Amino acid sequence: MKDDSFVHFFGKFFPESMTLAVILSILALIITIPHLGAIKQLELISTGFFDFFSLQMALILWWMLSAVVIESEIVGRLLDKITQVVPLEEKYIISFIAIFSLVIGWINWAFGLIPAILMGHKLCLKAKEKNIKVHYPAVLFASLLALISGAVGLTSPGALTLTDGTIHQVAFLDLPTLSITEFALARANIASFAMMLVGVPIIILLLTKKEKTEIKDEESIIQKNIRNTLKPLEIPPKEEWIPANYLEYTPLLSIIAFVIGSISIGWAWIQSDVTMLGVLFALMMVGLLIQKNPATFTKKTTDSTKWAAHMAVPFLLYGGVYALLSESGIYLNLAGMLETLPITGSYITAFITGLIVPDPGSLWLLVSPILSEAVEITTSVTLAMYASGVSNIWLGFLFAGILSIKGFDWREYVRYAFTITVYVSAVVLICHYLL
Amino acid sequence: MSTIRKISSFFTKFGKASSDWVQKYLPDAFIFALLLTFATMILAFIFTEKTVFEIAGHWSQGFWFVIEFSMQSSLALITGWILADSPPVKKILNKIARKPSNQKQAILITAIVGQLLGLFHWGVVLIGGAIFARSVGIAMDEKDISVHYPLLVATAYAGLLPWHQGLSAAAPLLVATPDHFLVDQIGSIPISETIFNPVNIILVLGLVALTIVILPMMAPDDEDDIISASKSKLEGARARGGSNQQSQHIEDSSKYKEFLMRNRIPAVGLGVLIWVYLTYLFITNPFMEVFNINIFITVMFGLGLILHQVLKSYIGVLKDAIKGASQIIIQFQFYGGIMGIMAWSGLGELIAETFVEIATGETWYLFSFLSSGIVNFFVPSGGGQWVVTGQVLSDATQAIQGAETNLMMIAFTMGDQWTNMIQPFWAIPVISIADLSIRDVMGYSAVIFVFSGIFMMIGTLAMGVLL
Repeated sequence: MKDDSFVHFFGKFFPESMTLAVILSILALIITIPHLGAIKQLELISTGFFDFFSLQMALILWWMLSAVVIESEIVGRLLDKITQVVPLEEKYIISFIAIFSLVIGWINWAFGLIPAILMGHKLCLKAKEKNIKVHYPAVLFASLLALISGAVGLTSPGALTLTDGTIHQVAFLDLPTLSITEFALARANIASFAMMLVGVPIIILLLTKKEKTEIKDEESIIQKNIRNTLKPLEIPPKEEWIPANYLEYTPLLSIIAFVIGSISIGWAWIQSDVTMLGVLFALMMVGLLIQKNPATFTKKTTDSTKWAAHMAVPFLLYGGVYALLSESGIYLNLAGMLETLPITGSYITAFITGLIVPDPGSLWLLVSPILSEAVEITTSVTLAMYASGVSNIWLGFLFAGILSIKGFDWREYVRYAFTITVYVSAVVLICHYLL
Repeated sequence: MSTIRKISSFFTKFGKASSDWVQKYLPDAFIFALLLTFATMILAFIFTEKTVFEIAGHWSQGFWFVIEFSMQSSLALITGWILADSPPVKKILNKIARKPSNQKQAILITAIVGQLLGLFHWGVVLIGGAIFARSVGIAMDEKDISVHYPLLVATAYAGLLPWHQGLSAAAPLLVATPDHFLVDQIGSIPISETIFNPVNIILVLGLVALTIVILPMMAPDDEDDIISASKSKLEGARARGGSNQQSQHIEDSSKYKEFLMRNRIPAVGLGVLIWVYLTYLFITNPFMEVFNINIFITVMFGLGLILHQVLKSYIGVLKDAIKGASQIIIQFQFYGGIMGIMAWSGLGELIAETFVEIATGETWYLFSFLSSGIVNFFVPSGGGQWVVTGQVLSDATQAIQGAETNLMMIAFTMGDQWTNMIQPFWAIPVISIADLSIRDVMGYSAVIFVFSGIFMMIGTLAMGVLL
């Protein structure tokens, strides 16, 4: 049978990020031929990633630890409770999921994306049980909005890399340090986000078809309830424990680590700014606590590598591409081309790159030399992160695929994605021109 | 019963007993990372003048102390894993696996392949070794030759024994880089003084020879004692380990995507370009001076691309490889935290001073070996262990008259690899590929632990006395 789901359809045509990284590397090698000697080119593509080990690890952990915090039994229980208070009516479900995904996603991508998808599924199933028609595609699309807000919010990877001198001074050549509040509370960023928060849920409601496509039981990724779905490990009954299990399954060790860690990071944040490594440390500690015991934490961290798989190895090639374009001076040439339309040009450059590079942090690494020359640093990172988020909406199949979601008809997905792309892009550009 | 059989029987029983004990009482490595953290905090509080808050601060400050090294180690494993799981490597292994004509030969050939892979790369031996043992099991089954499968897999795992004295030795490769975390203290030490030091080469060759001799001796003669892998297990193994295996995760791709994924030009082309540079690098510079962990990653990355030939195959093993590195990604940061407390509270210095009082120039390498072996039991990653103890050992070496840092490192690497034979952390990928339990394997590797321990103790003592 023909599979028209967007996860299958886009997956069929769109190459994996590793393939795109290889193509990007080959292109970078070709365009730098006039600027660099052959051996220098090969050296840079082979060893360019040497400067980025810290950044690479930080970005991998950004994906992994965020998921570790959310994909837990405790969070699952909380989400089950939240779904009990949402009215089972289509417009409420779509609005709730869209706003939840955007607002909570603004705190962290995983906090918005994963719960919104799971709650959306559960609400659609509940509505179906009660014979209430809910258009599942609209709900699923609404839950993916955290891909945008996660890139532009409090834990935006692009902005976080600029908070940490230890990471970005090695990685990026001359970029200044930027605090996360300067970024998140920048007028253009706040205004864009507010317009998005108001407009996007309405647009999705308007786009919702009158003929309803309900969720099919086999499409559901929920086992009984969200709590069970997010439970990483079934702890055996105490009678079956072997002596080693008493340490592995005790919450005590996790709690002690969390308490010490909280004091430590709390003290650090009182004395100085929030940094990327500080955020990752906090996520690690919260993950330890929320997963209840070390065994579950270990299991979940192993499982959460699936979220970082799209960038862990391709990043080696991104490093090479960065080195080639920096050394050849092509970055400066590209920045010069944006002189006439710096804001629009920066946004479009980042958007196109974002279609090839799904990871917002890696995208920022690649485009920062161009954008930071064209516009000032806060504007450049904000534009890059919005563009990354919007381009990731087109790569929604990648993230939905990680959660084994099949999706809905690709034509309808394109309709949503296109409209949201136009709206958000217009909002972001207007806000940046006006503010 | 012959004397050799008596010894063999004794150690098989001893190995099983120790394996049972380990399986019952040894918790996950992450527990040790946490317990060591707390223990270090308590020791720092008791023996230094730091307050609780200061120690907590040292922990979070130090937490990211080795973030760079954790990425280097993860990449070393990931790229090695990908290489070992490439069709040509599996094809060669499968071909060699068909050679033996009896049980002893099967174990001997697995031991030789395992030791060679271990000398080459720790990630490759874990995956390649396990795949090879499985292939031998399949081949012997087809030839109707009874082979004790748990011993076969334990033999492959024993290939990890010489890894830290081999080409992928994490700590020696790290200290060869120009900007490693202890560079201010010990400088950059080229691999000619560690991995390719004649002392190291002699000791590792002795160790390899000893292992290759002992392993076949443990093969049970009595048919009743031989546990062959079940038919279904072998069939499952055959499905996963076949040389022409391709990933099934990318199905039903469009023609143009298939063209990209199955075309050899992108993967082989890029891999060859990387190797052109590496060849140029090795021709124009002394190998010993330029080879370090970063170059090692490049070597493995380029080879992986070439040997997988097409991106479809490369991407197919990527996810498993990253999953395999998950605990390095997480636990190394905790080791960094321990190091932070040790370094900034003054505890490390204190421990080093204590070592200096106890050890002499003659006994220091033996001491380093034993301490490294003990710590490895708790911090199973060789690189992670260097992070935790490197500074203390280096401080002590510099304070002990006649002791040399490069020789201390050789002793350290021997201790680290030694207790891997009774610490199940690294056996996890091996047993999952072989479809066995830790209990099946650890008994036999415990025997290797005993014999190799005696050999390495003598070796490190001789280093102190003779050099």
